[in-house]
Amino acid sequence: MVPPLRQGDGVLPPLSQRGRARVGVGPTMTRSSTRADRPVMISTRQASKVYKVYARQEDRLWELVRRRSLHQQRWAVQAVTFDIHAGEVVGIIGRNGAGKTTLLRLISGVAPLDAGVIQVHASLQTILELGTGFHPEFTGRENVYLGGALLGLSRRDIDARFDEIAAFAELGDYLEFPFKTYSLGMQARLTFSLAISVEADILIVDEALSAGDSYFLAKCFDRIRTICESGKTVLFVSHNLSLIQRLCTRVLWLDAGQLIADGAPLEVCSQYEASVRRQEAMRLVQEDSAESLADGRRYGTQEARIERVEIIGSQGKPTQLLTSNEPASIRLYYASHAAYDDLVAVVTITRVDGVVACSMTSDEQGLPALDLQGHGCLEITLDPVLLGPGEYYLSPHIYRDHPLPRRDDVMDYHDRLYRVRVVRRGRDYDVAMEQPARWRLLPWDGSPPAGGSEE
Amino acid sequence: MLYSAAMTWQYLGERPDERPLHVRLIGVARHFQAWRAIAERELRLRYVGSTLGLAWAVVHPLLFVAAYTFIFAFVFRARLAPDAPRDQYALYVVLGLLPWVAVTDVATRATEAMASHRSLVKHVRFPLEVVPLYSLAASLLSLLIGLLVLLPVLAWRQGGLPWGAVGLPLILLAQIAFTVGLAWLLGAVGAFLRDIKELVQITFMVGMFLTPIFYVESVLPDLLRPIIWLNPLAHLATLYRGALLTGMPFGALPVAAFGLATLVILVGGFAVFDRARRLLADIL
Repeated sequence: MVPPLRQGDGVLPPLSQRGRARVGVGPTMTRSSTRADRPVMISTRQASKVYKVYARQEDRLWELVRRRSLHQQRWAVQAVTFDIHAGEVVGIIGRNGAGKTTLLRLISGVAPLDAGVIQVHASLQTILELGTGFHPEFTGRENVYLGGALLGLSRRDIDARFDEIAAFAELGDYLEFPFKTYSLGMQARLTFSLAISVEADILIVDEALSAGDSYFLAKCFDRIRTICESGKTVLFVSHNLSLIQRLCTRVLWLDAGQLIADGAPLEVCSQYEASVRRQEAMRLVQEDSAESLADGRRYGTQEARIERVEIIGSQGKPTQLLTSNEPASIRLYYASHAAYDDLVAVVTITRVDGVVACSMTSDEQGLPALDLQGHGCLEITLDPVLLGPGEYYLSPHIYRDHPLPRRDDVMDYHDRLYRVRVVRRGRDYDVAMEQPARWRLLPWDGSPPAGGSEE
Repeated sequence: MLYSAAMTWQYLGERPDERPLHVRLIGVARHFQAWRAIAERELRLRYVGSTLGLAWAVVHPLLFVAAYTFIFAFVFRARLAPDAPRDQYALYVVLGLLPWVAVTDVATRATEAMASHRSLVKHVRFPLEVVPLYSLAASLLSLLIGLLVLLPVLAWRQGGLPWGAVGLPLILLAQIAFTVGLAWLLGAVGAFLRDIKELVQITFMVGMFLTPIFYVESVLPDLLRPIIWLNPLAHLATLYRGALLTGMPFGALPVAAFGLATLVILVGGFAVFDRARRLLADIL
């Protein structure tokens, strides 16, 4: 039977269910008393997989003939050890090429191991890809029968389950149309509906759900939870971390084939996110040092020059990563021999889509008269940063403020030469700005407002 | 039934299946249901989307037999012997051609079977042995329909079938075994080397003329005879003709030759496929 539906996808399991997973991070195994009393479904010990990478397919043969190594070795999975118990929903996260899918293929026995041991004590069902065994020319109904047969279901099995599969997929008349006319989301619905009807002890889902809409996802979550309550196990690969955190009782983080962390979803996901942010910050630094060499985006008479720009985060250290609602500052180090009394320094912040987010001007914000002879540093304090999350470009410039501006009034203009990324703490809202606001709770006795409806 | 239902498996590095080869070969029969699934899919796939659908499976061999009968009986006016009936030559050609097409069709498709079923090989626990055999049912269906069309014609023109016709099921069985072995061999090699597909196609194209299909073996110069002797498909054609055409010999030699070839190809093909199997998921 299809479990009762809940609308929307904001369904969180009660905390008592989520707290089941072991807390504790690191590649070594420790035993948890809550899980240990349930049977082990999958155990891996030092599981490893090496891919031989050949530049060309025919090198495989040449290698045999010439007895010379023509391949490179890539460790797709390296010495991974863990136990998975019945009833767990295990999420596997990691960057592209981290070895997630390879690990699933090792567990499912599709690909042979190169070292180590994997024991699987259950029947197993894999949906490693959207529409495995489905053919675009067949109708949805035919695909359920033929794809189901490839997954090991007999015609009688499918006859018995067809109504349930159709009801879960909610595709209606589309079941009689060719699979090729389905959208990705509809394909995901049918694939998933068929896969869960197999009733294996272990269900493996590799990104197959990501195309589903939130209504279907909520339904799948309910189903996955009922599956797990009956002592079955689900392995789940996704790049959607909020999905992982909502669904899983435990998360494995793989990087470059190695198990980096294994523990509670919230903890492992936040570690993973932190690592991604660090890598991103490194990339921004590298790209910008290469970019600023590219000329043409800097112009002006150079009578006053901006020598260096620093963005200081809330930690007091130079960074390219700012956090909304936390203080930050921008420093412009200058060298000047311009003897003008009408100089103005400006920093314009442009969002990556071209919208000018704000423009900060020295004469309006604390320095009405700017005398820049010699060297010095102009500091702008942002307390706090009100920009919404996203990527921004900084354009600092110094110019002479005239009623009739001319081209040679610009001393130094750095057009969008500095990049900064703003992230948000708390919910992952995509907002343009952080409006400072405060909520209050006021009493009301339920009586209609005095004076009836407002004018 | 799941293929992996309630099983415990364990990988200890590179541990091969230690049962002897012939036990594993017989064990392939367990996967009949999986083969039926993949074969039914292919059968439908060939005819899905066309308005006549499965009717084409009948129309195609019917036209095939009719066209060759017409050309050899009425255009070329060829005769097996000076006093033989004219349509006997046509029946001779069709009986050579039907098994030839049935075997080579499966073998050619087997060269790219692994690649065309990539998602099954890489993503599902599926008995890989049945994948190169996916087109076996479709081509056997054509062969059987062709024979069903042909048998009444043979009985009518020859005034009954020769006693050898009772051996037809056995010949079919041997042909299936031969085809299965060849498909395993080419399926495994074709997965590693894409060029095999072209190579096999050319071999069959040339091989068609090195097999006595359109001519009688006795017209060949002595120099070319050994090629015929080494060609198992030539023996298969001889078996069909011996069984169904009156006046054609049904000797022990083609039986022994094709039987031996079948055994060698079946066991050899399985051995090659078995060695390649564990690499298949990684190379595709």
